[in-house]
Amino acid sequence: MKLSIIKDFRFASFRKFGIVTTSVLTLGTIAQAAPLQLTMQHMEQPPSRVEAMQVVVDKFNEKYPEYRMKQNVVGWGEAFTRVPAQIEAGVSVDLQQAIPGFFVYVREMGAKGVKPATSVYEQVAKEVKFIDAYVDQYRADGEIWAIPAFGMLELLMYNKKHFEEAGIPHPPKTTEDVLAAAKKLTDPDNDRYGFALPASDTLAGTQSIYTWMGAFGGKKIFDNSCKPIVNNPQNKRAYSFLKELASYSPPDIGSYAWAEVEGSLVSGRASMITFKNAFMNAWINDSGLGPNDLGAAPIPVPNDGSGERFSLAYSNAFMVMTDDPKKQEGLAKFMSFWLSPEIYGEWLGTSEPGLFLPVTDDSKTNEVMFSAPVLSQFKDQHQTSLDEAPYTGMYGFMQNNYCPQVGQFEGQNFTAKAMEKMVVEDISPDEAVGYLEELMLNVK
Amino acid sequence: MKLNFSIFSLLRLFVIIMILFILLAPFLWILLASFRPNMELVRNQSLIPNSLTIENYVSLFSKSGYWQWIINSLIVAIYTVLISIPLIVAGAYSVYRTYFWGRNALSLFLLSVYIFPTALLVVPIFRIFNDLKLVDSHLGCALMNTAFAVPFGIWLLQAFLKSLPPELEEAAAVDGIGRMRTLIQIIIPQVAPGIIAIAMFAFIVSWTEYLFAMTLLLSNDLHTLPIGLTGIVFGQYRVNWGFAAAGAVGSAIPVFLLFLIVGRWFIRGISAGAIK
Amino acid sequence: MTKQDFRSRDARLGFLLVLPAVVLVILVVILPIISGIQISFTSQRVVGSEYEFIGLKNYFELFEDKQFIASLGKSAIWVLANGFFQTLAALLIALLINQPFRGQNFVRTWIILPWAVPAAVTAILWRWMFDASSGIVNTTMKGMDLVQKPVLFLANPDIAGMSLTFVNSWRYIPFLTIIFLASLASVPEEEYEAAKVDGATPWLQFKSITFPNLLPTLTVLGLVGTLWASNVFDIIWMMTRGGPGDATTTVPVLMYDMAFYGYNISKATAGAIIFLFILIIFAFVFIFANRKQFVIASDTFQDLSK
Repeated sequence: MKLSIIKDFRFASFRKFGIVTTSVLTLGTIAQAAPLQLTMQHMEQPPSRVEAMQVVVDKFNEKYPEYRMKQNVVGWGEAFTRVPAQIEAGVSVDLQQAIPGFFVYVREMGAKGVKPATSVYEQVAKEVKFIDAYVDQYRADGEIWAIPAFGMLELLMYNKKHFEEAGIPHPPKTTEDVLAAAKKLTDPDNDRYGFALPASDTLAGTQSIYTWMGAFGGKKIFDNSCKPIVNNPQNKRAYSFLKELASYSPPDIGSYAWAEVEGSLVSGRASMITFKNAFMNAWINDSGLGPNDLGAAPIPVPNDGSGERFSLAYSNAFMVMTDDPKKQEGLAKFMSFWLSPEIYGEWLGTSEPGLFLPVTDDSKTNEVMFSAPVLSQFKDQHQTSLDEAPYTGMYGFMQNNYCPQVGQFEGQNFTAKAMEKMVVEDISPDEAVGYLEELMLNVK
Repeated sequence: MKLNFSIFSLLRLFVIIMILFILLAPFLWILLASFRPNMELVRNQSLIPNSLTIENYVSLFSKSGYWQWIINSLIVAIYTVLISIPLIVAGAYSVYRTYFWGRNALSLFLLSVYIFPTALLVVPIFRIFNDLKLVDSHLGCALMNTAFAVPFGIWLLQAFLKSLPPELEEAAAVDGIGRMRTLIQIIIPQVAPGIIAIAMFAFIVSWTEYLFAMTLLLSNDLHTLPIGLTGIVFGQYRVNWGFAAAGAVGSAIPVFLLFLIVGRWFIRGISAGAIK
Repeated sequence: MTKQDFRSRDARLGFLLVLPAVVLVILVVILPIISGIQISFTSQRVVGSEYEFIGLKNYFELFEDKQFIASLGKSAIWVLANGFFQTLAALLIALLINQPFRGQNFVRTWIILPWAVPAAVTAILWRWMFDASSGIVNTTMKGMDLVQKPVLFLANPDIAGMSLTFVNSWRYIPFLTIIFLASLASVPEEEYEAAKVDGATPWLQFKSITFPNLLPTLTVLGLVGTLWASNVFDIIWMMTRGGPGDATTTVPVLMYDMAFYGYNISKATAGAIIFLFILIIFAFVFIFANRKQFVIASDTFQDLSK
């Protein structure tokens, strides 16, 4: 009791008090129903993304005065603690961003957490045409559990200038091309490296390594009964390739996270990375090179045809956390509004140019997106991302359901742990793959 | 002026400079980096800059929520200080200058706060604070910080209380002044410098706190400086080093200014125990 | 007023005065720990998920878990290294800047800066400075011909722990320095003067005057500092996440990873509780061994009631 009195002295509360008084007064005069409060929570913390999201939210609130959407931001680092805490305490938001691994995590909480989103999805799908691959990552037990909002996928990003100066034809098409180029471009004495492969226990490591596993034909990591099947010839080849690639990488890749990987390409220290096409602004501002010097290619495959055209794609989607049918209707309206061509195209183009890919198949959206100031300078690279979207997958999410172990597989970076062990302890690729399978088998 | 250089004092000066250098050189490097364009920092870290810019600060001050975060951090820190001081003064007086069974154990019990594995128990904390309706409020954050500032603060104040002669209370008791009045009218003025010192301590504890602020403050417009800076600095993929450096300086500046203003009293405060 | 009367009134007041602090500590420390103990006896995987009561199973599993045992060792080394390095450095700095010199106030003000920067910013900046090829530390050392090959501060398992200890110390030394300055200031000046008259060497002065006077401070810091260092999580998590391999995986890091990324919050909480008990035992032993330093408030105050 006492505490709540003190709490009312918060400065913010004075403001809220003001808002409440004015709205009460307004209510008195117009006698209109108060707008329905909706809250979305996402993990896109950098200011430009928060700002771009706010533009969407403001426009939505203006168009639909019966709703009042609000955005909360939480860092990815804290999402794993705060989101369950909110659900536990009964103060969950209505719409919560997820990636497949995070969805698996929250779904462990059962019915009080994430709610089936099939009906909301169907309402949105009447308005926009989703790309199936992005929806599939949230299909389980006959339901759809989240509404896709944007995708992201891995490409081979490289420095065209380095290739041209060394007289190497580009883009590299096969994994053999990659190794040959990396070898030729590596010159440790001058602090130059052909590649920057994060051999670290990080999500950056997981994503790079799994992408290459897929390119060698090892994208399937569980059989249909969710038994790990990673100890196979394809993955042994992939790890052997990665081990060689690590030797053409900077010496401290064992501690590389996203920032170091990206930084090494932008600074010209490394010539190739596996990355999202996500650093257009940095390239323009910091590389000293022009947009045309940035190469973006599909992930190369082995030249004997044993692999497959593949990239790891994340479907970022929003989980419905409320049971209330009225709120669900509002959420469907919000998602439809956000994904409508004009709004969506502008958001994709400005929020983080290049990183966020459309989950809808709509030429109008793409047109608006491509005309955004920064993105318009990187049309070719961005088009490569769009072209690869059909050839993607996500570990453990391939048969209209998922294996429950993927949560730990991703969360504890098993592929990257095996890679780290191979590089730091200098074990053979066969042993590394064996270790990877062991890690997966230990999961309960 | 008398010249009495000795080899010893010269040596001492040299060692002081060396240690300060190791301790503060990274900070000087950060300070320097904050005035350099990111392009230069990304491509090659050399000690001598090719060019200087204030661009990093322009984006910190005008393109980020810096001022909002500063205000929020100040609110939380001021709450923390305001709640901590009475608790610390009362607690320290009780433990060090009254006599009751178990006070020794109680003072040690308070220090048990620091046994707490914070990172793992944020979820129960969230639940408890939610029951108390203290989630998404600066006050909730401040209470959390207070809990971590009070036990050590009580210990910090002990030196000041110990230095006061017991005759103070005895005389007051003879005059028929109650102990509560003695505390407020006689003891507190005597330990004022110590109170400034604990206020500074509580302030900085609150100023750098991240974990609980991130867990308890749901709304963006309540976020504090550490949350805001972490969000910017750990942009999902990119780190803008020049900007990160400016952020580090930007988060230290307010504390530095505060120290510049009250630092004199702070240092006099922590030295005051000696006067008696 | 009878003696008994005075005493009981004094006791009541004393108790009332410390009560708010005690309530706060119970609220934010004891209650969550009780809730943690409850969870540790269950099979809960994720916060809020369904669970059964499984008794001490998590604890038995942990005692057989090599990674957990290894992390206890890493935590012990971490605490010792940090405690030793920080205390020594801070004490040295405090002793050096305690005596008046030109710019003393300037130094005493500036020295706090590293302490005032949020941990995330500290972590990211040091990761950058420690970078093998572009980091300022390596480029400078290379420029001065101190090293031929870059030092892999965070990627070499043998060095990563030291690098983290350095960064963590860099953060906390300013604070410790100030605490030491405070207790140095409380050493009576007359004692030094008397010693100087007797012709005592600086070392002897330190040994017979400064050190005994610092002992209570050192003891409390020994206790509180150990607890602080044991629970350091943010700097390690943000700089190496326990890597490379398990080189810097202390107990808090392992437990956090297990709880939120390993889908085993109940086992992780059990690990935290075991660690908590180890710390409690340490605290008891430490307090008992140094009980003279922990006896608070001189007996003079009891005299009041006589």
